[in-house]
Amino acid sequence: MNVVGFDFGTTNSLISLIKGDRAISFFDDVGLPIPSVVCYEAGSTIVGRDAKRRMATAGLGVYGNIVRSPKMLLGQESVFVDGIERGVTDVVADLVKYVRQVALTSPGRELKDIDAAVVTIPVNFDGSRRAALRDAFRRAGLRITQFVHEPLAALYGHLRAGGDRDETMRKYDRQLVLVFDWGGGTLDLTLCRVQQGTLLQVANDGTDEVGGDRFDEAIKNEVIRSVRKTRKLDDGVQAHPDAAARLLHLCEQAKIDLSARDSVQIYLHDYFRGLSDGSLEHALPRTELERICTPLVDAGLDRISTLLEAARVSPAQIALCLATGGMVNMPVIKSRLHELFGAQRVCVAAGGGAAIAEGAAWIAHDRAGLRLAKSVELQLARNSHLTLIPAGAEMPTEREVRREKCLLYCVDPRDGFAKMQILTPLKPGRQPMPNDPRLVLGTMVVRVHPEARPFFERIELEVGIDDNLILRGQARSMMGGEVANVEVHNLDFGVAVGGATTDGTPSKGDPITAEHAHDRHEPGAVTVRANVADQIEHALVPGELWYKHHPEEFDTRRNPPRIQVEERLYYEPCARCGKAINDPLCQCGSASKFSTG
Amino acid sequence: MPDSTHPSNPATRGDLGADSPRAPLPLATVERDADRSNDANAPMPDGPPPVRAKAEDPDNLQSFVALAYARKGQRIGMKKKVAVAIAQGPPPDDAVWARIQDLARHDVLLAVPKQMLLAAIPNKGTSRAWSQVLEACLAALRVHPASSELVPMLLSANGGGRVDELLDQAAAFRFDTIPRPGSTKPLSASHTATLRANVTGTVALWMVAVWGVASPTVLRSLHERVWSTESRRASAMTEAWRRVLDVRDPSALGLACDAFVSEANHARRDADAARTSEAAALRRMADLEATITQLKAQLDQERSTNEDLRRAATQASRDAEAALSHARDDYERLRTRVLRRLTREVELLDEGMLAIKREPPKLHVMTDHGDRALSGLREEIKALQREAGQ
Repeated sequence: MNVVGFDFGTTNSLISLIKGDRAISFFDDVGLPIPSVVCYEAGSTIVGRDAKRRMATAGLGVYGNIVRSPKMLLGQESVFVDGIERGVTDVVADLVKYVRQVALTSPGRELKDIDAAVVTIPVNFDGSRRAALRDAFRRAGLRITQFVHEPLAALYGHLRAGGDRDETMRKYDRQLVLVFDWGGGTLDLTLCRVQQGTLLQVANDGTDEVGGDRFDEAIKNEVIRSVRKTRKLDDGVQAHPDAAARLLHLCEQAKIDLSARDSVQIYLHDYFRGLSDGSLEHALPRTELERICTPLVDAGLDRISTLLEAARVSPAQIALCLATGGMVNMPVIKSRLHELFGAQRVCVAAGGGAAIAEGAAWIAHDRAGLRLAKSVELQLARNSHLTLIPAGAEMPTEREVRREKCLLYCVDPRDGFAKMQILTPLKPGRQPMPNDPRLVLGTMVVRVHPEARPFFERIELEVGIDDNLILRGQARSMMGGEVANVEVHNLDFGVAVGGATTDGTPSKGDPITAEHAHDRHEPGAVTVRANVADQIEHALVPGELWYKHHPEEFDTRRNPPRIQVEERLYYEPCARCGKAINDPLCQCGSASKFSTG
Repeated sequence: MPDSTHPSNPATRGDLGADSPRAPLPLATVERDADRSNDANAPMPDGPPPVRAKAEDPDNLQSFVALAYARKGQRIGMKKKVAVAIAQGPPPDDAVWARIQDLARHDVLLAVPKQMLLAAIPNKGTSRAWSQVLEACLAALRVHPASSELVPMLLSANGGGRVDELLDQAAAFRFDTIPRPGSTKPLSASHTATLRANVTGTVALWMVAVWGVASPTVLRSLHERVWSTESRRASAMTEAWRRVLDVRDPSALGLACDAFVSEANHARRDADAARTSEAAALRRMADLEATITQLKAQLDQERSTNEDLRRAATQASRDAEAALSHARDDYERLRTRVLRRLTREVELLDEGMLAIKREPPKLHVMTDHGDRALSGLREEIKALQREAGQ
């Protein structure tokens, strides 16, 4: 059974397969990954390099009859390509079919059939787009056994294909690794932690505003602007229809050549229409290139700083910066990375354009299933947490759904709603501490009877993660029958290198944990006070409410919980003036009756 | 066997002589010498007193038979010359056989045929005399009610396998019912016992002498079919000892016991041999089991080795396939890289050529493009050399 790694990239797509101890990548006829470009021309579908040659401009999406990076359109029902409405999944399926066909007909590599694929996706690829992508692959005759985020696949491939895997894993154990994937279309960043053989995602970021094509576009525009200025050509002078695509290609070549030269000549023999000398000629020195690219480079590298700041990690804590994608070979970017992390900690992935596909192929080869990096929890009354799906839980593969169900009680129905929050700790690990900071994934509210006594209203909660890695939660009031749903698309995952087991035991000195320990909520954030419990525990009921129904429980001889006593007294109006007990206008002195501790 | 015993045979009848009618033999053919155990205490029935044997030796079958019946069951002998005379004499005619049958009819206790057999056995080499004696015995047996039905079985060719059956039949006869010539009284118990002993003894002797059955076999069958039946009647210790002590000829007892002891010894030796064989077989079995265990272990090891080899072969095949794939992949990567490089540099040079052909020629463009193309090609050459060096 051939399960391949499929890098369904923004700019390029590629299939890789592990044979023996090495990955084999199925490039196109010029030995490069297949451009993720589809062109519909005169009733025929042109995909890959031929389609890319027809592109006159950079950018993602639909340009005339060309669809660049159709996966970015997933989530939409359809797009208009050259005036014709086409389903996005159909466009994606056309691309997938072509990549599959290239692999199957690749000369000398003898790949007889492809049964299924481990498909890489960007980190910001939400659940609906994952579902649409799965549908597109199905239409192309290829099953998706599992998804994996692109940076995670690149890191997995880098660690797995290295010389001494165990030594590498020991070296980076409990260390942070930044995967920096700067390709032609997007920049993706993933901060990972290597924890006992498992790669856990800590934080992610991504943008398509600084892709490599943007550089080419900027160079092209600067060249045209400069030539027009030098030759005093107004906007009425047009370029030949195909010349723009050719110029874009020359700018890309110039960008590459300026890695080793001080200056290049950009020359196009026949660019302008209607002129005796229609050629375009421009000398582009490296300094000018750097001037053109600096804003984009800065924008890209700023993303690193932003990500690290959000994760409260300094660059010095990064043990390895794995750089992949074509842009990282640009000297200015490489030198900036060296400045940031130090040359020894920056590693440019060996696979080049195939690093992600080869990582996915290794994951397919090792059958390294995705595991939940952080627990999925339910917030209960009094800020306690119930683990719904533990960290390390294996994620479902194709056509599987992992479900968990639990029954809850509403402890405080006075406002007429049972409120439940699905949370996840910020720090990956199997055993999060109660005071670890947590991120709210979703909130569910169902109507309950406000006059019901505590624990009389019951709520059925079911959560499940499907093969598209979407978490769906449904809460149902068993009395009223009202249903609340929530969908979570941004779960974090880990993958065990070479089949190692996930163990999310928290480590001492974890920078994220240490710095967040005192910071339970973001300043100004609105928090929902959950009012459900998974067991009948009287202490979870607010004191004043419990007193209303069971005053006998507050007999001091029964030693009632201190918090409930305080709550009852706090929310009890002043017996003399009727004001709230903490109202500064209340001068009755009843506040001295108790202590808030 | 020739049918010379038939009474109508004229040859035998002539020798017998019509003028020598013989009176019936007395009922009790008491042995005076050693054979008294048969019927020593038997009452003498009516009839003439026993005839004394003549001093001269018999010279034919008729005279030999006459002598035997004259001895009334006592031991007789047959010298060599008597046997030769019988053999050389004319074959007995019907008269002779009639006379012999007549004599036999008076031998109520059937005591004589066994004596004739015993006398003739040493002369079996003189086959004609031996056969005539056998015919005489058969004639005697045919006329006796207790043995007449046994004769066909005695004459059967495969009688050797029917020892037990024949003795059973001989012993089972109701001896007390046979008619007595000249008397209506039944045989006494002692006579019945003597008759049973004579019949079974004659049959047993026939089996040994004629059929060639081994004596221990016949003795064992006699013991099981006849003697033990008799001994069960004297189960009391006193009676048993009386019977043993009353035996007049201890040698008979000794012979029988010797035979049984011999048989027992033989059986013991057989048992010892069997035990030895059993022990050897057990040892052999243990050796074989050990060998089987060893072979099984060896087989398991061979299987394991085979499995290892199969796995190794599969792995080697897989490795070879992977190596081939890797080599092809390397080749394709190299081919496409070089192709890419050449294509790119050619494009540059093409563009440069277009530039240089313009009026005025853009030499600096060609210089730049040519320089870049050359740099690219040099870089590729270096890369190829570096890879070849690896």
